[in-house]
Amino acid sequence: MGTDGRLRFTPGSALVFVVLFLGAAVCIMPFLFMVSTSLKTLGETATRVSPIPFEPAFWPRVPQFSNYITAWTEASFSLYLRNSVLTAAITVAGVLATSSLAAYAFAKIRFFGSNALFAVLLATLIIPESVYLVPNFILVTRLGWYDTLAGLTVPFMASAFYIFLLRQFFAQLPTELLESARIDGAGHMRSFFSIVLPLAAAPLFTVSFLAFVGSWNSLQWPLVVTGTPRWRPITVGLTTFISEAGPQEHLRMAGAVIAVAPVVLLYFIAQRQFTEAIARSGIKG
Amino acid sequence: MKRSLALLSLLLVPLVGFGQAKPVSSVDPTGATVTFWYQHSGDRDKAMQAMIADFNANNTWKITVKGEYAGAYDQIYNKMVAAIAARTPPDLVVAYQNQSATYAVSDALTDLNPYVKDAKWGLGKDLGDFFEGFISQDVNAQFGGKRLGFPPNRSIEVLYYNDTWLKALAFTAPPKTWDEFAAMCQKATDAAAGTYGYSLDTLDASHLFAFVISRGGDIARADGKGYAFNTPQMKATMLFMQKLYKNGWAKKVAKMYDYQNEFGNQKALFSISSTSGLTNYASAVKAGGKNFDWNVAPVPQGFSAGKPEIDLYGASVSVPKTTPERQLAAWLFIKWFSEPAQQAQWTKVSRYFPVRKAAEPLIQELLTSDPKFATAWGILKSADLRAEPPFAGYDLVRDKMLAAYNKILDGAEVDATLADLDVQANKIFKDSAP
Amino acid sequence: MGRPPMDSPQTREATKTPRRRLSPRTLRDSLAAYLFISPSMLVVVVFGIFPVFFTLYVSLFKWRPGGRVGFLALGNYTEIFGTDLPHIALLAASIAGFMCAAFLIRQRRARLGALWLSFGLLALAASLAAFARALPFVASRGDKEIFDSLRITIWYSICTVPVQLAAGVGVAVLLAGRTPGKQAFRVITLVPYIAPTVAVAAVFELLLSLRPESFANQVLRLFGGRPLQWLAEPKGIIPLVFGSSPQAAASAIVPAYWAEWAQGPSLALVSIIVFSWWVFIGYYALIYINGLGNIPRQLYEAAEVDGASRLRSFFSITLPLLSPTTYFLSLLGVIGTFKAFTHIYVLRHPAAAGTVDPISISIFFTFFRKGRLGYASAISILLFVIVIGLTVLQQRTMEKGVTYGD
Repeated sequence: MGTDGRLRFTPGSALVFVVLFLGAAVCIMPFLFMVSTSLKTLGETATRVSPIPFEPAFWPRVPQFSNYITAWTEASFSLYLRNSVLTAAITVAGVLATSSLAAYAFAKIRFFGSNALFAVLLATLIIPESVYLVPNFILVTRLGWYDTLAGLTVPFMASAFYIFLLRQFFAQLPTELLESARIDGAGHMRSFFSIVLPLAAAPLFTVSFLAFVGSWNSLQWPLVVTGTPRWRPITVGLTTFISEAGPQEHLRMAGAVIAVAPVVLLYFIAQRQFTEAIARSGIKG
Repeated sequence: MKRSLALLSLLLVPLVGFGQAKPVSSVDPTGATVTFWYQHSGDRDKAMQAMIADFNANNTWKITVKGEYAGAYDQIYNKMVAAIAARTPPDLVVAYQNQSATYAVSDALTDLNPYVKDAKWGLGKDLGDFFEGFISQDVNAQFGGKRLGFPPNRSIEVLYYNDTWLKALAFTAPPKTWDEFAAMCQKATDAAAGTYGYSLDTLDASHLFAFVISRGGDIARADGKGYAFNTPQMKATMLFMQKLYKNGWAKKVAKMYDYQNEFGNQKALFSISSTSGLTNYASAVKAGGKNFDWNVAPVPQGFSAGKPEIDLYGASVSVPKTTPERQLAAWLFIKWFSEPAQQAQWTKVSRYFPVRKAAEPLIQELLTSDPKFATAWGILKSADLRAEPPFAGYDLVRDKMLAAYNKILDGAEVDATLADLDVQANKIFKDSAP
Repeated sequence: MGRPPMDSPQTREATKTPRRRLSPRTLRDSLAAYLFISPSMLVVVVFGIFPVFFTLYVSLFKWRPGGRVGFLALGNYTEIFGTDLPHIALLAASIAGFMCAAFLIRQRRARLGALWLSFGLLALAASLAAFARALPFVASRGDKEIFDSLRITIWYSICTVPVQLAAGVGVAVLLAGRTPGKQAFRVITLVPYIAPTVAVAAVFELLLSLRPESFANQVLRLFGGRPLQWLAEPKGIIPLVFGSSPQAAASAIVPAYWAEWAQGPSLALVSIIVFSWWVFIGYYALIYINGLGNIPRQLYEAAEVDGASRLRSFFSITLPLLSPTTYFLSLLGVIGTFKAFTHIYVLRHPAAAGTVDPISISIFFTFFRKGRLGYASAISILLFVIVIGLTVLQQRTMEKGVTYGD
């Protein structure tokens, strides 16, 4: 390291560049494969193959964009995408509403039992998800929420993690702001909506982002809770995509592209917010 | 509003209890809706949807059936486990006899005997028109003779062979015995060209059953109280396949149903699978681009004389316990589906076999125009048809069978593996019994 | 339900700063507070706390999809552990022994430290011997599948977390320097992590399929190797790479159960591990880059003045000061391997299923295919206990090694 802690340009740094380039290539390669396979015909997926993206055999002879139409319409990926978006949006809305309110209360209101309740909340963070599979399934289905939007969203509308994140932020807000509002006669509701929330745009974005990605990615729960295509999200749709007409890899990859594209696109547009959100929280969900 | 009423009624069902003692004749199915989970995909899915639309438009009780592709048999099975646990099963579902047995252990299925025999809604004289072996399969002794399902169609396990290639290898006819099969596989194997004899499916345990019965054995114990895997016939099957695989005359498929592609791309000379795949194989051959002559033949046997022992496929459909109205509506749909006209129509689009004799005259045209289907039909008529054990929990045993098969193919010791499989399977039999 | 780590460097910060709340104002405050927290507390209690007790309840029954069938008391647990009481007791004693040993060893800084230390080491040795002796018996009399899936979970942990940590640090250091296109590289290395798991796992299922023309086999062919079965290969990696099976040799020295460990993870599991590296290294690097940013430059400058080489300052400055991040990531990683589901569900091939199913998958299929809700609950209680134990263990041991900057 040089005196400023950074690498100076040396033969060593050329090596570094090569290593990073190879690493980036390894990261990107599977996505190239996903796209190229999605544009091949079924026959080509078996016969026209190559490991090197520079060889013509890696790519289709004639790109079959119709695969996307087939995946979208006949393989119902449009429905699955809609379901994923709806489920994620509702979950995020629920998470924002419940977690911000609770975080505010834990951070700024001194009330009886707050420490004990918060400790209980934190305790839930260690519990592995598998422990919840069977009991929540029994519970949710007894409530009549099997194969419904409620069953897919409600259990995830609150999580100690998001409350924790937001509380951390709210705690750092200067209390003077709220005190002066109180003197002016504002109740907690008013303070919350007009003072605290507007200041919390960044952490609220973090929470929405994490909750959205967590919901978009979830497989285990929707797998057991949906039986019909009605509310099936795209994760389940991708895994159940087996046809009696043989493996339709080109369609499956088209479906995969449909699932990946929105997220990756968003990522490239809003990189900074993404990386900050992940770094601040430590988890994707 | 309707949604919440429906939800409310769902909540009431556990209170009211499943399955009423109401006599079938007095139930009114008018306006009922029926959800139907099946495994037909792609073109067959569309064909089934067309038939369902036909029923919805023309039935006199204004019953609406909603059909859904719910995945392959295995996936439907997993989903049913969850749906039964959720007390929200579909109204009609495809199920092999062992699967319906498993559902029946949870008391989730309607006995169809009252419906079959009902004065008003039953089959009446038509009961005798069904092929005996098909209609009696779903009567399960383990459950006191209840009829846990009803056959909408049937199929059989056959050998698919590339006739053009076979003739090029100087053989005149498809193999009748396993020895002939091995010899042909050997000749077809060319490592440089990437061709081989048999596209080995290690993802469906039914093939093992087909191989064992072809050698004169069975996987169920003679007294019906468990499984028997440590038998000479199973051992012979495993050793035979192990030899083929080790020599490279057979190659494993990468994914389910991939043998169709291997066959169509002329990589594999033989494939062994269900006649329900006839249309899929035809598409695979077309997609492969090289049009060649191919046909089906009975699965090679352990003996050169006598009727071939053939595995009978094509699941039945079961009616879970829901409401009397929906159960009856589901029954009326299956009954309609089993009528000769519908059976002939379904056979034409799917190449499944019809389950009634009266449908035979109606498919004569198909038999003349599709020689492969005609061959398959001939095999059906001339074979001794056998079905896999209708034991509850057999699906889990199938998982173990595949694990053992893969282990042996990779070189494990046959006797020890089969002995272990036997123990595991019988434990599952005990754990899953009603 | 997003489950994060117990502790992160940020958490410590938050809990250290004194939180100032509004001055208390009568009952109205408490009422308002309860109103505010009630929606989330309702959901958390109903779906986050009650289920733990409910699952304990369910685990005491034979519970089929149709409903409760019979009261088993500890029946499901004896199915997991078997009924070989002497060996189960020995196993339990060895675990207690480990905890004692840990406690004793921690006392080494106190008075009579050497004495505590030697007792502790003795306890450790005895516990190890007892554990090694008892486990094979319990595993064979109980449910071998469960113990196999525990072993698979451990292999998965051992092979993913340390590698991801090391590579993450390495990549972070490379990305912290002055390299052309640094920002682009940072963006690209995170893409595998942010892309939906199901989709990228579906791609890897193709890349690592057993077909001779699959991507992995073609690459292998470029290097002159023969095609492998990858995700469908249940054989251990060690016999595959070294040709001979060490299991036979090992079983001459140790009981057969332990000799199985000598096979290493199966090639199918290794394929899944490689997928995990691909996904997580960029993410670990991101967290480490943040951590690197917190290290004051003056330390490096001082070291350079003292004549320390780049490598030396890496090991004596960078690594120690990254230890909070390392601690956080390793906790996250290990807990994560117990939660791993999505990519394993997609990548598991029936031929190798018994060698890639960690405990989370076992629980899932015990419920979703075998329909044994009570048994699945019992296994998940076992998992719960293990995770609690691990969390406590990790908190205790790593806390000691974590260094904080000034």
